[in-house]
Amino acid sequence: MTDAELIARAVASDDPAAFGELVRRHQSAVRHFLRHLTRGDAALADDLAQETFVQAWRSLARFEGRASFPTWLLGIAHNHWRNARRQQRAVSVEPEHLAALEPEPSSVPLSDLRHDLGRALGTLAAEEQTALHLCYQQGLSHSEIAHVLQWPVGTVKTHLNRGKDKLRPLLASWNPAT
Amino acid sequence: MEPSDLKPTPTDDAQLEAWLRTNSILPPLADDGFSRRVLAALPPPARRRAPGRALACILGAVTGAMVAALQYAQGDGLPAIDATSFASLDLLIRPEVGMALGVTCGALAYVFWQDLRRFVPL
Repeated sequence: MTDAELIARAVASDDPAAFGELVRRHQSAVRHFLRHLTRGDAALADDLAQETFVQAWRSLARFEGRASFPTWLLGIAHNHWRNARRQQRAVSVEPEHLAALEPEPSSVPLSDLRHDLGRALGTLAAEEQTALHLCYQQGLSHSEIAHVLQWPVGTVKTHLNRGKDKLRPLLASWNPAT
Repeated sequence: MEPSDLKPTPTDDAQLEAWLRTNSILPPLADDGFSRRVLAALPPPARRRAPGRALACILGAVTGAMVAALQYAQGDGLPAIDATSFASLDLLIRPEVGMALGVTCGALAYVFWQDLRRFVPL
């Protein structure tokens, strides 16, 4: 069953089971995005992800399909994170917090490559990190990133290009450009 | 000044792009009960829509009653509605009746918009 069919079913019959399937499909992307935004605070990210899905359930009937469902969800997640950041200084993005991107707890040790990539990404500006995360780690298009972050597409491209320019020398040992 | 040979070429950019796409994709996070917690936190369907509908219905009823009461108090009386009026459609030509019908239709469409969307592709 497609996302659109599940959404129609959830809206038509207030079917939590259909919505549950949507949550299972997209929880990983939303939680990854929020872990990125909260600098790896898994507990806070999951709280915000839960609020994101509850908000999505409340607003599901107003989903018009102008963006894909996961893109719409990431937009809600980004709004929740911004509101939380405003309310709680603990979630604020300070330069000293930018050092460790993707410190996600995992039983599997990070590969050297992923570790180096994480460290390299951690040296970028927050906007560049977020644009790169959505583009390469989540696989979103430029217009989808613009929708999620409420930026003009040109701004998305600028942050991506600046981020890549900074990453190139940092990842030279992995020889990404050969 | 940056040496020109260090500037990225379009080929470099494409290769970095491909490298990032290959190596950056995150492994999916295990659900670990997350979906169950979300479903448990969802508001019940009945509470999700009922307050808005009830409020719209009550506001509409109160407004209609106030308009009727005002018109009655001003001595105009209420327009007589009978079978002849409907048959000739004279009643619908009256601006106040047409406006009332328009407001009523708009209010009903607003209140039952979600139900309309279920059956009609809007």
